[in-house]
Amino acid sequence: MGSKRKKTEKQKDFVKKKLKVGKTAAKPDNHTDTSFSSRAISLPNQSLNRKQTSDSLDDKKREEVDITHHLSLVKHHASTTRKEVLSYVEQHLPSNPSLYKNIITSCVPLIVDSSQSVRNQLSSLLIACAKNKPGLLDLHLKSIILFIHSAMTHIQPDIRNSSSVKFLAVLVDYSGSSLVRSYFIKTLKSFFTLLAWTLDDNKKSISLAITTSSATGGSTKKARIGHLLVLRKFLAVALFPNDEDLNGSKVIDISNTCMIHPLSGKYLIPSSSRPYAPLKLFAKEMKTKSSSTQNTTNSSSTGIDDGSFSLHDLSTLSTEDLETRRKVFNDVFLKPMVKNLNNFIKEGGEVGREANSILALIEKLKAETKIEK
Amino acid sequence: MGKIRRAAILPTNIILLQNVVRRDPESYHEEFLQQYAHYESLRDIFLMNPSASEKGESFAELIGFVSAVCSCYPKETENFPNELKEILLNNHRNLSPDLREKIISCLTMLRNKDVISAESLIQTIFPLLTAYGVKDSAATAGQHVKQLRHQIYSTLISLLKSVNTGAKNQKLNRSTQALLFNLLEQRGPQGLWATKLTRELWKRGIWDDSRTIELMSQAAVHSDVKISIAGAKFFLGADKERDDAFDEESSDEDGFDMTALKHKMTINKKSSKRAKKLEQVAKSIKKKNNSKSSTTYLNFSAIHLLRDPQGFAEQLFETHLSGKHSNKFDLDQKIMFMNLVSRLIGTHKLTVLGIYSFFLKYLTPKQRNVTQIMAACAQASHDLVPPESISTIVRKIADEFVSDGVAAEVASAGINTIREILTRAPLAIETPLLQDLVEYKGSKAKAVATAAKSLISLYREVAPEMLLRKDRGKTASIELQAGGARAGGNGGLPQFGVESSTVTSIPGIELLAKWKVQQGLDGTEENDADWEVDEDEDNASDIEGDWVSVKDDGKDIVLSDSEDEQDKDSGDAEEEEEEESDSELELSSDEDEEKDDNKKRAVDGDEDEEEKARPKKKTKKSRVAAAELKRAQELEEKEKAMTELLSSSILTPADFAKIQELRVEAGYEKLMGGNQHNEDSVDSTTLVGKVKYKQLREERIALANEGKEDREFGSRRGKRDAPHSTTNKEKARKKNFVMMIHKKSVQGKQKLSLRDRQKVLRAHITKQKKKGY
Repeated sequence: MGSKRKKTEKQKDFVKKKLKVGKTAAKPDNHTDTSFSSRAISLPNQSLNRKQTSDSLDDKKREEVDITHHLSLVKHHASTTRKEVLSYVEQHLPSNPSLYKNIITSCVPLIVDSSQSVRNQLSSLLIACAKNKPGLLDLHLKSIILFIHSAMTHIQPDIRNSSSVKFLAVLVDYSGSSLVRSYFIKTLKSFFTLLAWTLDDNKKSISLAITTSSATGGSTKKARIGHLLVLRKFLAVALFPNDEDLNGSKVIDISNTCMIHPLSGKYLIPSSSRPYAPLKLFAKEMKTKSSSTQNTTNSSSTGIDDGSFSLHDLSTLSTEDLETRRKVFNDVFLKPMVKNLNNFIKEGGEVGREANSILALIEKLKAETKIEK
Repeated sequence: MGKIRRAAILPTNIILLQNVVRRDPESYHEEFLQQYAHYESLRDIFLMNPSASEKGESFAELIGFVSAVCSCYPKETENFPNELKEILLNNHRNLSPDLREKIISCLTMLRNKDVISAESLIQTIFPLLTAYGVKDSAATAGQHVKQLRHQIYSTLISLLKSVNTGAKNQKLNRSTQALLFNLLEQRGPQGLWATKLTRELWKRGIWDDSRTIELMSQAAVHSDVKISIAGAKFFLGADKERDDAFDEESSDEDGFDMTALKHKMTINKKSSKRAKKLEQVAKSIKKKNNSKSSTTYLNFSAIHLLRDPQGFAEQLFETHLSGKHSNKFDLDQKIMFMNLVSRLIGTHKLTVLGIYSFFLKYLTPKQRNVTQIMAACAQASHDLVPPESISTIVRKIADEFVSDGVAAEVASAGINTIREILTRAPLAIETPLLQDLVEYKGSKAKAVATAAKSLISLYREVAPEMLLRKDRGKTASIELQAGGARAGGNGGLPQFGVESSTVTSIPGIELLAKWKVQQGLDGTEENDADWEVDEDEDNASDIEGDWVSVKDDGKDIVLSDSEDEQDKDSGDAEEEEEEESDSELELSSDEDEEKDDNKKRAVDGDEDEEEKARPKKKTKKSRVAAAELKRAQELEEKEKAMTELLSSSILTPADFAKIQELRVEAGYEKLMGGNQHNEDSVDSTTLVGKVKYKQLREERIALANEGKEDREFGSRRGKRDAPHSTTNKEKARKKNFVMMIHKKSVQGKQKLSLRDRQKVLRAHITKQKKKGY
């Protein structure tokens, strides 16, 4: 009993549609629309075309482009990528000296990188750079040492312990003299905080330091060995005349050579890089002390007749020459260092041995200063 | 073993470290030093290359750490605040927005810990507020300048608020205002921040002195459009804003009722919890009262606090309205300035003659927003302006707006405006014009007729002579007849330049004397109850001392022990004078002020009794309807009554209340010309009057349906309130009749006795009647 309406609807399906001029034929009922629209994102940085164009350039240019491209990946979020970039740069160190500045400025912030492997890779890169271009680290000493100091006081123990001194060792090896000339005090102070030694001999701070030494300082003996090793190297460079430099024929001992005028040596181009850096003429730095406090410290230091330095003078002092360094070391750092080293010797083992060798160094220094006197 | 345990809790992130350092600063000294050294090296790294600051996050974290714990190590962190300041001031363009925000919030934190002073904080962050100009928007694209400004703005507001709670820190206010003054002296648009800050602080009642107003008046005459508009808006709207803010605040507070709580305590079971709650509430109420009394909150409006209103109004008019640079303002802004200038003129009774001819240009019916301009006209007129300058405006309005050919609302707006002008300056119209205008009382349009009638009623009070005889009304013509016999002709009109509102004695005192005589009361017998002021007006806790009556040589003198508020012994006037000056300052509530006023007048009256008579005669000459002889008698009588009353007795608060009452009865205000309108603002929307337009059909339907939405019509049968299944009753009703016909319940009805049937019927009827109740 189908209704009339249903019947007509059924019939409609079988009626043939008439085609009309100028109108497209109606689609059948079971027609499926398969058309689609898409949107494209263009990434000109990653396009293949560009690489082809760079191929057409000469070799040098391509190298430069390649390096800069890799340097931009230094801040990549994945640590493996960062490490690979560093190793790539190390293997493809350019001959063009102008690129080294870019390399150093972009890679140096990785000193405080969170990944151990990246830091290791970076230290090998620095060594490679230093070998490739001697004097390079001298030029960039300022920024590198800032990052090293920041690493030495970093709150993450592994950054602080394992790797900070590694970079310092590189610096000591490759630009030791300029390092100790400009940053002797600051670095030594950082060592003290790193090893959780105290400079002031307040009773309170000593007792606290003893309680916290295990916490902040060498949490592992292994790390402490490394620290002491680098410290010894550092002291050796800082406190003793550098034989290597003297023997290396480049440096001429001006006092010994015969000149037209005895002072003409002063007007020659200085042998060290950035000789006026300690004047800080162009450096943008905070004045660490307000003028009033400076005055008081000055007056206090002049009050002492023998001119020995106190802890407060250190921030205003420049340690260009060996004499000042020795004097500063004797006046301020010697006593606490010896005491702490003796503590280490009591612990024995590898640490004790290292401490002992530093003590020997200090003894040697004492002997030399006595002779001079 | 202890060492190991300590190592276990050694923090490896800054936040943990901050927590432990706060708890025990001495033991974590080493760790702090380490992190401080780390901060220093990061700072140096940042300073080495400020623009490439990718180190932002850890640096910001460390800054936050050091500033949080620096109060624990004041010696070590001596330079820290200065370093932050320097970084912010010198490198703020290079800082990443997050780091900058962090530094500002750290500086605020340091201020809160009193490490740095509020002055230095303001000096550090204030320059940043205006450092980024509008023009170099390209340079400041990624800097989130808006956020920065918002942060600084809210910091400044909260800082000033916290500094000014309790006592006002005038030094800081001064220095901040000086900064804002400097900002306003520059030509650029940066002065807008000065107006914003000032407006907000005014609104919150933090700044309420005349220096603030001076600041805003400078802003109002500034050459920059935005700043001057902000200034004008402040003067027009800030007081209302402030009052609203305070109302809101006070309405928030009264969440609990002390008496109710105490009552509850007596009734309910006593428990320590409830007692504690009561204590808490009492404490909070006390605190609230304290804070209210300690903030010396001046409730003067902005316009009243102006130092040089005449100069300000003239400058505004010359620079912004009539000068050649006035083209930079559009019409709405100009109207705002007209409004402001006219408010100033009205409130302070200034003389800025140029403005009246300036208004003439705008007074045409086709002018956009003409009602607002007309309102400004009305506000700008007062009785010290020469009537001929206002009368030009009145004539212009009458010519342009009021004629038979114009729409009803135009005519009513015209007449209403004229009325508003004339209430303030009654002399500014000639008699024929007034009489012409009054003719519109017979207009078909209701709005016009009402306007004309209001004009009549105004002149019945002010100068009935100017009206036609038939319009004067009963009381006015009786008075006029009495007065006309005396003066005759035009003598009763108010005159230009005569102050009618000067008062030399207690107005209405003779009424009191008369009343006392009528009641048979003498000055000698005084009632203590008369001294009692209504307790509601001031809180019980506010009163420092109650009235104490002291017996002294047989006469009652009532003294208040501490404040000498109403200590008035007419015998020794010189003592009184001193006390008067004291007590004036101390009074606060409205009622008291009024009383005080009256008192002062009384004192004046005491001092120069001969002088007092003269001005009184002058002021009332036109009004007091009495024959010459009678008047003289009356005057004498008044004088006598007053001296008698004042020399024999002391006026109690109850007496003053009675005087007020009697004055209202006698229509005293009207006679004294006491209703001064010059300070009122004119609402432009009321000028047009009520015009009834023909409504659309939809509107009419909506109007008719108003309030009828919930009504239902028709039977409720079959409709259910709550959904439920069919009840047994319903089922029975629906049952097939054939099935029921043999049941007893049906058959039995036939067999009922007549009496029973009647009972059932009766019961049914009453039930039907009670239905629905």
